[in-house]
Amino acid sequence: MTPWRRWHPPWDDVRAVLLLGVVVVHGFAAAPLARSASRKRFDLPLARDELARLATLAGRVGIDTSAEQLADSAYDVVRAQSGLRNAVLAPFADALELTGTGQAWGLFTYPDRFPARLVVEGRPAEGAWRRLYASLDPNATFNRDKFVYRRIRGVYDGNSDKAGRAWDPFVSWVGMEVFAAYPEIDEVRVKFRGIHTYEPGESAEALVESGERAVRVRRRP
Amino acid sequence: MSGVWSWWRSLWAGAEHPSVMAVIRVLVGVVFLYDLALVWQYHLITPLWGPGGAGGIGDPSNRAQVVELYRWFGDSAHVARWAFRALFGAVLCFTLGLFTRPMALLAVLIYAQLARVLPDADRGIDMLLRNVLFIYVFVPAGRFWGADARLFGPLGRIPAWPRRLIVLQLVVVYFTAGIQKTAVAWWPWGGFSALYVVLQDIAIARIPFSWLRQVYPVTQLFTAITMVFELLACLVPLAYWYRSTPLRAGWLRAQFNRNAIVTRWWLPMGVCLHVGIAASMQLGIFPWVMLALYPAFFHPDELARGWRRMRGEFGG
Repeated sequence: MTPWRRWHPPWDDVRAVLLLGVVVVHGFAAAPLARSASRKRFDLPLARDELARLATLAGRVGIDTSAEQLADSAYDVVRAQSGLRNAVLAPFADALELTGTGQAWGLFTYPDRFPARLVVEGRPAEGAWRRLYASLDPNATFNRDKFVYRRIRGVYDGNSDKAGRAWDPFVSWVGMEVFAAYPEIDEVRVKFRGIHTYEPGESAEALVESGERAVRVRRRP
Repeated sequence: MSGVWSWWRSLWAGAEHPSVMAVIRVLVGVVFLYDLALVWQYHLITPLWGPGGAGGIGDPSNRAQVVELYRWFGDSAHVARWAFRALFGAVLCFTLGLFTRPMALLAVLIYAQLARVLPDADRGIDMLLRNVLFIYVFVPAGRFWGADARLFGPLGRIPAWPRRLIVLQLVVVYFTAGIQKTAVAWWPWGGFSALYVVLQDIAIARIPFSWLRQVYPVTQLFTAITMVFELLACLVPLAYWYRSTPLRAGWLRAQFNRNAIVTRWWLPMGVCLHVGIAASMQLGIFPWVMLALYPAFFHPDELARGWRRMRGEFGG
């Protein structure tokens, strides 16, 4: 033991304590624990595809299971995780909400082999539907810059499997944009075209479009 | 125990030149202003943040918990526009270093309110922006290369902990992004197909990428590199510790210090990753905000040395 201790300003200790608190709370928030649990989410095409692949892999190492069994087990784990996460962070929830700070960094955690193409169509009262916008379609580029803008994409992207809370107001906004730009159009249809992405060797095509989801129509007021 | 506490205390103690925090302030501010300018240019203030009755997509007045913004000032498109103007003004002042700390706090609080109006439009990068702005609430970063320096006098030293906290934040971003990539497509047993699949997503890709089938092994290689980069982030704190204790023994320490693992290898990988994302995907400001934070990995003395070397090379 040294005969003397190096003196530190008290503020050094106070700062260290405060930052320890910040690092512990945010460190826990950053931990890869589920935020919410929903058994229905395991039925989405993306989840079913992932579970089927995992079941196949498990079979190769001698573990006999099915996608359904894996979904049940995963749901139990996810439910326990989200309960723990919400309970631990509950005392700090108001502060995190007030400042909009937190930790959630899952970028492309599950690459989606079943994405969707946003399609906007319009027509005169008795006319045929005309494609006005479709993601990456060079012949349908109405409002392209707005639709690919990250905040707007965030609004509609989450609705491609199942229409959520923001979908109908989003479609109404799209309708207003179309009616303002095309006086001859009286009806607007907004929808998703389902896509299946294939890896080389699985199919001759990289992308196969099929089916429509979340179809909504708006008429000129 | 006292040794651990002493280490923790010294980690956040000390002061350094404010240049790095000033550079980050300007870079992050410019990127943020650009993004807000797009909202204005595209006439998206009311659709994104206005009430449902005025054409807002979020319909914040019909939620279980109405945001304070609308509870206190009323739910109208007028309030949304004023909130946007206040946010833009606060970020502009922050960037210019004018009343930097209160402006950072104001920007955080307004931006958090807008995030709650339409959560779908608020991405991870927006949360990162708020995290970083919140750190700036505690840093007199405008007293260097900022209007605060003229108003209140320049500072030659500021606390070192905010820059270190930004480094820790970036490490957490990358490492947790890496360990959450549990989908088989990110791993050898899934054929490293992740990047190929992601680039086929029509909502994200900048151009059609079906031609990547011709060079599929390249996409597999980049998938593996992405995983290696993100998972190696956990070694960054170790590299900094080795660098701060160069006189201690150890082969690994010597290798880390000799090869400047972070600045010579890991960071250039990150730059390539983000430039690649910006070139191939439509993720908005995400890659640019991340790159704007990279100066945090450099000590102000390193930044000054680099600047001197650059001026020398270009005959300045």
